[in-house]
Amino acid sequence: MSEGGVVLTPRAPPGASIEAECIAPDRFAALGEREIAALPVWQGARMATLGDFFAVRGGRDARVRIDGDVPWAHGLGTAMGGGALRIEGSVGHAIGAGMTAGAIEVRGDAGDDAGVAMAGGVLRSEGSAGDRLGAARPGASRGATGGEIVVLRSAGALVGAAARRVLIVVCGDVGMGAGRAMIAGSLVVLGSAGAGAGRWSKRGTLVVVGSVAIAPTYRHACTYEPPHVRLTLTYLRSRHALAIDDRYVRGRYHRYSGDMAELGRGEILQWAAT
Amino acid sequence: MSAAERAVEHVMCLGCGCGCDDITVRVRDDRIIAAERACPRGAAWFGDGVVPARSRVEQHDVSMAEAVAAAARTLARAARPLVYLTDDLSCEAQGECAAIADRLHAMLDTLSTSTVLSSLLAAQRRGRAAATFGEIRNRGDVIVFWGMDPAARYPRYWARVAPAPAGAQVPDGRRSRTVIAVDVGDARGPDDADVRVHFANAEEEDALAIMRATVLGRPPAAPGAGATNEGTLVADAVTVATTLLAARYAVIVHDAEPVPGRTSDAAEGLIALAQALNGPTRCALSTLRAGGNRMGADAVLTWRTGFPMAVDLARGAPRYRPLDGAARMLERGEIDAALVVGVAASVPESVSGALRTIPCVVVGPRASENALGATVIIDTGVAGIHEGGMAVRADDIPLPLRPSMEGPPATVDVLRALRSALGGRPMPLAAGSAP
Amino acid sequence: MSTPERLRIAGGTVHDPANGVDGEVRDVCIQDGRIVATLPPDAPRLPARGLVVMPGGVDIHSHVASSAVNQGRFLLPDEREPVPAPRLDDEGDAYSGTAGTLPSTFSTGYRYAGLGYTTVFDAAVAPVSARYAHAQLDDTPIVDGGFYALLGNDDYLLARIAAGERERARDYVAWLLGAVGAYAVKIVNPGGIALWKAGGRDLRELDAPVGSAAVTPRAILETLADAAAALALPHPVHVHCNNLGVAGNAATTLASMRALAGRRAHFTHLQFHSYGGEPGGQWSSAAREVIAYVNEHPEVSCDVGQVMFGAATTLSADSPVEYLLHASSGRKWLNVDVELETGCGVVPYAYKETAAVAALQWAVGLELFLLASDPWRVVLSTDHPNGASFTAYPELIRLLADRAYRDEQLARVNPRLLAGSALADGLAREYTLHEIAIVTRAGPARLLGLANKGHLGVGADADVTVYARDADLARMFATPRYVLKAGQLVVEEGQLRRAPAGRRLHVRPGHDASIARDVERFLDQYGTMSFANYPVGALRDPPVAVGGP
Repeated sequence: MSEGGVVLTPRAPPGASIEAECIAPDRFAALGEREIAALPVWQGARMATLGDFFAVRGGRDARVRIDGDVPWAHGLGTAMGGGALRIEGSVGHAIGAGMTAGAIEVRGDAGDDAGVAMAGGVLRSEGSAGDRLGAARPGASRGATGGEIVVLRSAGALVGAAARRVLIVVCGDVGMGAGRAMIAGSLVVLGSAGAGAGRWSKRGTLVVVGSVAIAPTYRHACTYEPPHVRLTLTYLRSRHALAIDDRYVRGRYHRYSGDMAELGRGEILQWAAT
Repeated sequence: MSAAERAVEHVMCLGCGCGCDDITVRVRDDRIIAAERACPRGAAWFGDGVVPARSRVEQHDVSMAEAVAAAARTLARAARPLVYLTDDLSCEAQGECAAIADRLHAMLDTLSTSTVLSSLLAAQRRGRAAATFGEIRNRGDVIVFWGMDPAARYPRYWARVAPAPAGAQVPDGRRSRTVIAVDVGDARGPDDADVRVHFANAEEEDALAIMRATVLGRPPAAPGAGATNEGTLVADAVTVATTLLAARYAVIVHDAEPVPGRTSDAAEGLIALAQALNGPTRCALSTLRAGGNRMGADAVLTWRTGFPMAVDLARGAPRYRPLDGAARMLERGEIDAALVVGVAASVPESVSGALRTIPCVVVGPRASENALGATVIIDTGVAGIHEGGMAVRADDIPLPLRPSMEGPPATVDVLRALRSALGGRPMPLAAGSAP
Repeated sequence: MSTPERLRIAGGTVHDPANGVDGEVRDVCIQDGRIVATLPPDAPRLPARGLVVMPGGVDIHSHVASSAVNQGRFLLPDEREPVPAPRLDDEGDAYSGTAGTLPSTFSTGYRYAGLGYTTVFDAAVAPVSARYAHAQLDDTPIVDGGFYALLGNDDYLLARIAAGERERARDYVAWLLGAVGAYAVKIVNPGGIALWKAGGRDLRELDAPVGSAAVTPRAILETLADAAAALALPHPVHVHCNNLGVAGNAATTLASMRALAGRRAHFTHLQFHSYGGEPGGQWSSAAREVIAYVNEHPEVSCDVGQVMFGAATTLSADSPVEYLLHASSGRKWLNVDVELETGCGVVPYAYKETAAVAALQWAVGLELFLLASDPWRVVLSTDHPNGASFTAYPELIRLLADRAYRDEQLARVNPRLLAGSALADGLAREYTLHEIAIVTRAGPARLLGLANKGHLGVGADADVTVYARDADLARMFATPRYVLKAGQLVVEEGQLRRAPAGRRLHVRPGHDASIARDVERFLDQYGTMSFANYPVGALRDPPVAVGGP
């Protein structure tokens, strides 16, 4: 991000974490510096202001930069509908939850529930992400319904669980239950996937370059060069500047269709190493 | 007090979630001398009915009014209070707890978050294919005990629900029914089973998926390459699924509470399987829960707040945070005072450990005997022994509680006094001050 | 202002159809919670000049307090919005809650009162779970309320019919309503739930057997309608017909009405039962045929069960229907088979104006309203939360009363199945304020036999709603200026100010004492609870008198 925009500089880390759903760039576009500093932030049952935790510089701009580590700040970018939010360090839980448009970039790690129930926009973490990346809210049967999520390192359990129409790429490993109960959409894992990948998936596509255990309710269909994987990986390379080896883009994949315990119209595509 | 013997009939037992309500409680000399028809677990729950009746503040005996005032001061001072419900409360008392939490803008949580979280979340994601005990009794012709033997924690289920009793569609009771024991890990099903299979913990969800796929007409064609155990897994799962498909009314019984020897989480798979069986035949999943009216807490919180557990009222209205409940908030040091209502001994270690480090009020039966190091302690009676009201069975059927003894102040009265002492309005929000 | 014991609502334009008052400027006098003829001139006044005064609304068919409703709340944590506690005037207890298609209990009471409704019935409570419904109603403030007991799939009744002992039904119904504190008899898919629990699927015909040849939907309808009539219950049998939501079901609906010809009966959410076409085939509107029968038969009444576009939750004892909805939509599904009595199903749903069937359902409901010749017998409901939330009532009122607005909406919906329907052909009718007062309060109160509700005559409960006129009727009916409940001002200047507890409306008809022993034997043989624990015991409010005028 170039100079300009709104800059939030974290003050000393607070004793207890905060929930700062107010940090949403599209809403900052209409607010001056003081108004932004006065936005409500919750610390437990105490309502405070954004200015209590951040020095605010700038206003009336939908480009927002947080220049430091804020692992104690949760809910940033909740339901944001546009603009750009960049965090120069790590961030807490539920970043970009329910976002519909715009771009979020995290230079460090993102906590749990990043991009949960998102509907559009781009969420990118240059570090790792926690559990339930792009998944559903607790008790909900539908997760992310759109948008793109890029994680350059690893992600935790239940990546993309119950997702519909989302594109998620994790460049490292993912934990247990990746793509669990996916309704549709694509999840690309350039590392390995933990146990239970694709369980209860209806129509999702799960691409795994490293190792993945195939559940007995998936059926081996064929080994081939899937054109949609090539398209997706090529797109990810250019759109998100990801260094994806040609071996994966042009490679052969074992295609397993499943989960036969659901609709059976989903697939796991595992890179065939040779 | 009279030394004459008294008997109270049709008493509901809260020893487990089965909620047997055919108990006759006999009382003599202010002691329960018998709980007739109760199982050993139920008899232990009733005990002799003798409970302490103390009110204490900082280890000094005080009047109840003084204790209530001290409790109100402790809670009103807190920035981030917790209201935590545990065992042996009537639905009326549970409602009062929710009202107090609403007033305090507290975190409101229950034992469910620490015990049956995965089961409740799976039911919220997928729904339920359930039946009350009577339908199971009258219709169930294939009964699967999944990773559990009811004899251990639900001793009368076998005799009162299934498979033993005769029912309208199963006139010969046990002989009219096929019983399948599914052993999972070290958790064994009942001995008296017509079919028995075993799955390792790691295989459990695979087994359920294979069964559901079989029910949907898409069984695995052949065992995959490599795994030698997979052939047995598929064969066993298909056998059970086929038996269920042949049922007129299949019942799968499982225990939602943590079961020793089981590490895997079958909740979602069990629901998915039971639902799928309702295409080709009928099926109910019978989900068993511990006693103490925990089902009632789920129900009361749901109707008052919309959520069964882990309700954060910090912002003055309910928000659902089941993945970040009381235990995790305590662990992070965010909670600065707590009101624990119900049996303190039931509070799990993940919660009770941290409670000892913050100001804590305990209102409940035998609070003075196990007080979590609390600042304020108020002994009350046990719902169903000393206190009346409503309780809910594991199958969501509500029943009346029939107290058999006089007891200490009723929980609901203590809570009302506490709410009144807290003042007539929701606490104002502290706005604007620096962290 | 605080709530005085006496109050004169002065100079408002009064719509009190039950007393033949159609938009007259007059005072309404209140003393001790009742309407009185006059008050001394110095009595406190609520100036209402230019405002519209009506009795409080009466909802004849909603789902707010059953165990099924609570299962529905449980099932849908992700659709809920937090609602802070209202700020009340009188230091009274106020509670936060959540909104959504199934609001939490306190929010339900506040929202009904906020719409000017003061009486609400839950239309489907399994008797075995009645205690649960009373507990939820206790936590639903302001509105007077009660519930209907689900009958017609209960094994005890079916066994009596099978044994040719239909006359036992009268005592059984009397005992049951009194034991569980219910107000009326509800029949859902007669015999169909029992069949589904036994593994059956279709129950298409009124004379199809349910287990025994003697037990048919027709026999069940007749037996219970006769029992309700013999007991002179204030509300007749409240019937949810077989084949809900199926193309071609109007034939079943008309057959059910004819089966009860000459007997009083209330057919609920008629919209869901008024489709032409063939099962599995093309749908069409059969509203014309169905409402024509209703128009010609004064013993028949109905509520419409209007569908409104947006999120809904289908929730019904009609568990086979919920199963089919789950199977066709793939949405989450909750089913509970309730021992010896009934079923329970919940599936979330969304009516989209772009969807042909939803558009047809919307049109069928409006046609029933607009083709009805007697608004006293065709009253307003959305079958909350099945067709829409009760919070959509103001919008529905606007559709009925504002043709230009209605035609605008009609132009936006999927027209594929509307060819030849009355609505597409053009219906000019616009409901007057008087007719709105009938279908939302006077009519339902009369159908329920509530002598003190739905009107402003002397002796009536002082449940009064005062609206400010607005060209946009949706806005007018969404935000009443004042609402009084039993004489207490609960809404002032559009703000909820007080939340007193409501009263329970229930009946306790007399019966032959031997019936209880017979039911006890039956429950001992097949049930799982002690018979002594089945009745809910004494209720705080006395029962409504039975026996008719």
